[in-house]
This record gives sequence, structure tokens and C-alpha cells, in this order.
Amino acid sequence: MMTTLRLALVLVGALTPGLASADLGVAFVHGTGRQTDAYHDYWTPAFVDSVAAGLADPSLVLVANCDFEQAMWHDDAAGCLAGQLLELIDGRGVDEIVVITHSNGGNVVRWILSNPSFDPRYPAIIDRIRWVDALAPSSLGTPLADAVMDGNTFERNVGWLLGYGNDAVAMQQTSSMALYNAQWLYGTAGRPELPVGFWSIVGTDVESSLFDADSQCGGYGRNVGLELTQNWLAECSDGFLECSSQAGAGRVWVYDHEFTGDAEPLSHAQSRRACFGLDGLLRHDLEEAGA
Amino acid sequence: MRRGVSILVLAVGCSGDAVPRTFAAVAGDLAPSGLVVPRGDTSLPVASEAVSHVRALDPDRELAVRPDPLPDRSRRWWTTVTGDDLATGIALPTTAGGATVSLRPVGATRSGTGVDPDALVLVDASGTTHDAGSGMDAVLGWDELRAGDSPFAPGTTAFRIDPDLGAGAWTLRVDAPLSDDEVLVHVVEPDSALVLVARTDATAYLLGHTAVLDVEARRDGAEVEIRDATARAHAPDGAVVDVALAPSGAAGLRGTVVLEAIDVPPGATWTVEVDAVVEHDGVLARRNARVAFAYAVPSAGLDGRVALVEHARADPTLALGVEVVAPGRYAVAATVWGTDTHGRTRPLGTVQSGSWLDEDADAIELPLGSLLGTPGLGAPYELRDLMLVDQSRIALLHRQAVAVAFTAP
Repeated sequence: MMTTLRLALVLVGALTPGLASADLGVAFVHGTGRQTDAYHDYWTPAFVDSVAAGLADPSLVLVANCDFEQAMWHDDAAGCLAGQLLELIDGRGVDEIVVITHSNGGNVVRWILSNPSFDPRYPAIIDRIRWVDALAPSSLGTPLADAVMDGNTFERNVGWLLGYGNDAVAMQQTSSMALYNAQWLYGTAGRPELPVGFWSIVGTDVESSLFDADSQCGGYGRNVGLELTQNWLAECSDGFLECSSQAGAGRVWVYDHEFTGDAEPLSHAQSRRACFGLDGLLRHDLEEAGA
Repeated sequence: MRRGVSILVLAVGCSGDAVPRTFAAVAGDLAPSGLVVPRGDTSLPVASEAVSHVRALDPDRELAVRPDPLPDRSRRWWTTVTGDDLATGIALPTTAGGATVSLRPVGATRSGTGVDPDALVLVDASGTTHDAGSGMDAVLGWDELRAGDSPFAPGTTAFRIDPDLGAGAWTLRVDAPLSDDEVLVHVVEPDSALVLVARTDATAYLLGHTAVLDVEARRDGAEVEIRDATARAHAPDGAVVDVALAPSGAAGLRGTVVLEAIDVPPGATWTVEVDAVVEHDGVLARRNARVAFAYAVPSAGLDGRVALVEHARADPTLALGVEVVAPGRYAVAATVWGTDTHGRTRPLGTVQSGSWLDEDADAIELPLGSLLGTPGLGAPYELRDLMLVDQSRIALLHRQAVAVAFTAP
């Protein structure tokens, strides 16, 4: 049902003068972490290239590489992303872009969309974004970040943070995200809507079995870990985020089982990979946007 | 040169019926009673150019008057123990089957191995031992968790107690040598009926304000007695303050914290942690809850002066008087509401304006774009959810649910 709604809106957009664009580009925005080669390390060429094939010019692609271990407002996070988006827009003559985010990347993009007065570059970027496809966005944070921060709240300065523990994880605690959503970010319930569509794809479960080939997609080891971390979360989750968080900002485009083959769920590791038709869904989305 | 606005606009172009009517901040609003220069140089590198932005909103969008604090409804607890404690066994009280337990050596490195999952031993209340993985499912060591892309601290080992074994007074032991480092033991009971609820009375405070903390325990929704509880407030400058809890209501507890940190990082929050013990079916169950709230040193404030002005060849603009004691990039943001033909107020759009302000700045302009010409929604207009933020320090300085009423110029 949600898919039908989204497609209907896409058609309306295609019929609206000035919206259709011959020079449509796509930007992939990674989640938490400091990326230097997200094309290979975070998304994989199989996913990016398959999705970008939906563009009239498949070379108009940006795979962002920024430091999303920082808080979203940090110059190495949103500032870095703004610079790279403008390289695609101004540097390569792209008229409009569809932004595809994963996980915390959705929050960084929402920062730009919600705070146009923060940076003179932001309004120009907002004007060029056709819409955002948010894959498993951590819009309301995750109880997993709460648990990870338990007992560690103020040890961050003394070096326990050698891995994933960082400002971005602290930011994705449920209480922290509630503050940011209430004060700095648009798109959640009770707040003004975002200036462009923010369409989430929600992962609802994790399956990991050595005897199930589907569990290999996205990495068997990752899915094993995510199946355990579901114990920290509500029944509907992708192993890192509860469904309510993924659906907490903008509008739900589709739940995984509504489009995947055999109603396979998308774990948090799988929602950035060419698993179960996700790449095809996004490729078709770009085809519709450029039509 | 970095100034974005001039106070002169306040006196220009105001027609009689267009003079805005301002409202005082009321209970629930955030407003500084005085301004203070933040200590330290913790501001972010920010742009100096003035930027304003206006966009329309869906008039049917339901907007909250002001945000409600998000309570922590905790079914989890944690404790710090030593390797020797784990060698002899630590108490692990649970209130429901399927508790998930993680152990994190505090000094572990990302390349380390953590606690050997094969050395975990559970002993139930009757003394029956479950070792070598029995009595547990989904036992994962650090190697597996590291591969799972989840934000576990280095060295974490985790397992779930077999749900079929139920709840009770467990003992957890590790039959393997451990270093002298402390180990953080964390337990979450997703199926437990016992919940510790902690909340504050607001989402944002300023230097000198008092935050009120309310704590209660609930079992299947009904309030139950808290046997023992302590609370600590962690200030954004690193200070830790004990929070005294006193009985409040039927079985709850209340404490207050006077917020006094003055040297704070961008995006500062205070965090309050609560540790509680509740009797549950003969077991002294434990819970920890944690709540966070935004905090700022009020380096600027709105002084209550507002004028609706029109520049030549420019959109109608509201000029809001400000007082600044620390240079920085400041912004005002608000929603503009209009009135429909039935007299109902509905959202027209959002407006934002940010610029660098020095101490001698006395106003910030908020262009309204074409919002006042929206068909079907006319005067009187209102400025709601008015915020003044310090973008240099990611700090909320003023927030007012209903701030200004005005008609078109």
C-alpha cells in the first residue's frame, strides 16, 4: 500500500512542470563511521552501480566520504557532506539529485535540510534535492546506543572509544535524538515537515542461518551479530534500529517484506547492499525521477 | 564587518496597525533571566554570511505547542565488577526469562579478545550449574560482535539466558583468567514487567535553572515501591553531582539539580543516571535509567522588541531585538501561522535567519518571504515556536510557544 502511494506521488512529480530533469544525479550518503572509500567499503560497487543504472547518465553519482563519527553538525560531518554534494551539483552540472542515505546518514542529511540558516551552502543544496530515499534511518535513535553508553557516559575523554563508540553513537541514543528532533531537526511527529520528501525504507527483522543462503547477503557474520542485538530492541527491528525509529521522520515509503523476494527482511547490514531486490527498487526510483 | 543586521530597521516602516504585539514568555517556555559570557573557547568554526530561509508548510500539519520530555523507560541495569568478582561469581538477578547479558572489559582494545564465551558459567538459585554454553543461547564473543557492525565497546561478550529457564537469582561466573581491569556487566530484560521510569520537567535548560527529576517504578503499569535509589547528574563540563531523591506521590521519588556548568562544549547536554532496587517476586531486582536534556549558557537573548518592517523591493520582515554578550553566529527560527476564514489558526511556513553577531548587535532580521500572501490564510498572523539559537555553540537560548501577533504591513 505504501509503495502504491509513493509511486503515485512520483507520477504527480513527473507531471509537474519544472520537476523532471535530464541532468539528474544520485548521492549515496553512508552511516556512522569515517569513510574514505565508501564505494567499496560501505556500499559495494554491486549496489551502487546497479542503482545508478537508473540514471540517464549513470556517471552522475556521488558516493560521499565523510567523518560521521562526529556529531551531525560538525564540519567534518554535515560540512563535508555539503561540500561534496555541491561538487556534484555545481562541479558536474547536475540540476537535481536524489539522495540515498543509510542509517545515521539520514540524520546528517536532515541536519542540512532543517538548518538552512546554519551554512550559506545549505539553501542551494536544499533547492536541488529532489527527494531523499532513507534506508533504515536512525531518526529516533536506538536503545542499542543507550545500552552501549550505559556506564560510559563520561569516559569518552579517557580513551575507551577505540571503535564504534564516538560522538555519533552518543548522538543516536534515544534521549539525545529526542532532543535533536525537538530542537534542531524537522520531520518527526509534531515538528514541521522537511522541505523535501524523506522516504524511509524500513527493515523489520534479521535472519541468520548457516543453512539459509539469504543470510549470506550483507555478510553472515554481520547478520549473526545483528540477530543477537535484536534482544535489546523491540520485536520489529533490523538488528540495530527499531522499526519505529526508521519510520520516525518523513514518511515510510515501504517496509522490506512489501517488496523483497519471498518477503525477506532486510537487516541493518543488508539495507545498504544489493539484497533481495533493494537495488532494483532504488534503480526504478531513479528511472521514475528522471522520466 | 561580520555584522548581519542593524538596529535601525526597528524604527523604520512601521504602520500603526502593523505594530506587532509581543507576548511574554510563560511557564514551559525557555527564556534567560540574564546573560553570561561562556567560559573557554569551545565555539565551532562557522560561516559569517547572513542566511535567511523561508518555506511554506502544509497547513494541515499538526505541530506540537512545545516538546514533551522523553522519559527513559528502562528494563536494563549495569554494574562494574572486577575480574576477581567474576571468578568467584556475581549476583545476576532477573525478572523475566530471556535476559541478555553483556560483559565489557573496561580496558580492552579493539584488537583484544575480551571475555572467553566458553568460560561463562550460570548458576541458578538452586545451585545448578550451566556451563560451556548450556543455559545460554546466542553466545557471541568479541570477534562475532565486531563483525556485526554494532556499536559495542571493544572486548564485549554477550549472551542471552535461555528463556525456558525463567527468571530469578542467578549467579554469573567466569572460569578463565581475567586481567585486573574492571568489567562492565550490562543486563537488559526486554520481556520484563518491571520498568524504571525517569523523566525531567523540560527538554532544555539554561545556566542557573533547576531541573526536576521524577523517578518511579512500574510493574505491569502499576506503580510499585522503590526499595533503594541513588542518582547522579553529569554536567557537560565533566562535573558529577549527587542528586538527593525524596518521596514524591504514591511511590515515586523526586530530586532537583541546579545547573551551573559554564565551560561547556557545543551541543551540551546534562545527563542524569538513576540506580534503583525494587523487590520483585522475592528477588531484589535492579534497574538503571538515564535521561538527558539540553543545556546552554545564555550568551544572547531576545529583548522583547519586535517591529514589522518593509524594505524597498524586499519581503516583509520582522526585526527582533537581541542582546549579545559573546560574539557568535546566532539564528532565530519560528513557524508563521495565519488565520483561515473560519477564524482558525494554521501553519503557513517556517522562517529562519542566521548571521554573525557581535556584542554591539541589537537586532536580527527575519524575512517572511511571500508567506503573508498565502491564499486562504490571512491576518492576524502569529509567530510561534520562536527560537533563538547560538549556532556557534549548538545551544538553544530561547524558545517560546507563542511569541508575536501581527497583521500585514
